[in-house]
Amino acid sequence: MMMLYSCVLTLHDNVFFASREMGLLFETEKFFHNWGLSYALFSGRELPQMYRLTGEAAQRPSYFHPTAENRLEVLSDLDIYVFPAQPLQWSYQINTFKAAQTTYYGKSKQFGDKGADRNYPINYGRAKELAVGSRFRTYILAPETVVIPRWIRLGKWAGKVQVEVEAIPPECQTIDRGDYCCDHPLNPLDLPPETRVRLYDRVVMPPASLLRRSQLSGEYLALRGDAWDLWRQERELPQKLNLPYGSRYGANYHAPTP
Amino acid sequence: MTNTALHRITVDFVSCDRQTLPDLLGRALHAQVMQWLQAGNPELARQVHDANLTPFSLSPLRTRSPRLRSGDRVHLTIGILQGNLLQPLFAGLCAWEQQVCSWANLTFKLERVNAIPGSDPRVQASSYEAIAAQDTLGTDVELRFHSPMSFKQKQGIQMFPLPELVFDGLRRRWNHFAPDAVQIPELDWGGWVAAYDLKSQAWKGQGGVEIGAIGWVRYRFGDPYIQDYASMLARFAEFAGVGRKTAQGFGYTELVLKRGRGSSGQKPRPRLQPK
Repeated sequence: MMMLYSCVLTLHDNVFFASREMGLLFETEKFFHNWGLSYALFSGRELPQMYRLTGEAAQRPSYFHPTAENRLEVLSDLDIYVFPAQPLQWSYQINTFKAAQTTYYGKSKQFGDKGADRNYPINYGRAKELAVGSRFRTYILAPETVVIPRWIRLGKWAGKVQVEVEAIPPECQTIDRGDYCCDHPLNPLDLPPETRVRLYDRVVMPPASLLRRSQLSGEYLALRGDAWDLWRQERELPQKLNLPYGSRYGANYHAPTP
Repeated sequence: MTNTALHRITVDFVSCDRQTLPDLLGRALHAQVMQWLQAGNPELARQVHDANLTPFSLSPLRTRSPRLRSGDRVHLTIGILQGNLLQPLFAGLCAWEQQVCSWANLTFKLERVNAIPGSDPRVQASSYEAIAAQDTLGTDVELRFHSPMSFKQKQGIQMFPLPELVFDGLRRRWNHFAPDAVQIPELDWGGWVAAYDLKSQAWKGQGGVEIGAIGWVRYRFGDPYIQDYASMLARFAEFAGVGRKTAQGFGYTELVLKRGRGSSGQKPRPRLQPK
């Protein structure tokens, strides 16, 4: 039986990933992308853990690579789908970092220096990180038997994040069809192909920008009514929640032609 | 998305470097929007380029201070007067979103695009029919000009926003884009300026100097028939801008609503009694 889980993610470490690189400043967007979250939640169990320190595929994402063992379609085949996470409460911390040179003698290469091949100093900068205590919410569609870990690690520094999961009772959920609004962030590349997106706010971030507060039409999972009102009390959940039904990883993704 | 839809969207950028914003960036911003349109729908972009009246308006870049550090936000507002422009513009923005935008040696990265009303105070959505069906604003219509606004008049530049210049200019643009059912006839505006606080401002840039007036003006119309049309056009001004070069960031306009009981639902603040 398919279940919808509501997850609250609480940061116990700073979380940093470079959503935007602006000269010396590396900034973290206050949304968690669902592809990254999926790897954090299911790597090592549902998704094979890959170690590729060398070779052509090293340091390359393999979300939909046809030969990669840990491609996201593996989760789709297991009927698991993780939605992007939206912030409930967040704050930032800016840390200045300086990466020491590994050579015997290394002088900081500044912009314009001899040998500096980038337009910014290559070994120091400022990282704008999501601070400890920030809280996020996401939803997971998965079979009843799935095991969702209580702790995960996220971001470049592998920050520790607590996951609190609750299964939403099936009586709160109905499947509808038609025009609807979704306040929760969505990944446009994962939407069902028959879903039409009419208007949205766009959050620009790699690897695929997210839609927020979107107006869509198609089949959707609606959470409303008395049962929902009763269940969501004291849970910081919205009065009405609509989520596209039938989202799959990369449903709208077209691999770039070589 | 109907062709008669009106949108006002905001595009947020972050500064990539320590840099100073010049007053005049209008041409570069116009070119950037055309580039997004070109990426989204080249045929439509060509039509927009060749058209006499541009179906979009731009605000100047808004920021806390013109002296930017890397990571500082700047905001651009785009008024869309033709509903079919929105999807190509979004498609172009998506295609360009990971690239660095470079205008006059300044570099920015795209951060967010807001199109749903409520996401940003400046975001609005309406249609020509919806504006035409809205209630009148009453005798007084107050407009606030956030960027220099001027009119071309007999080979010269008129900076004072006389009622005929403002509302007849808006009427011409409205009639160009609005459906036949809500066209506005030629009118003798017969209104007057009831109050104003304006100052002239010169914006300097690489292309020269542009002058215009910024501030607010309150117009008063006695005729209820004219009041209706003036109200429609004042609401339209928030999407279209007022005066010349609205597609380059000039004449960015906001309608000032009365803050009395009823319009915002709040009680007016009681006046202080002199001791």
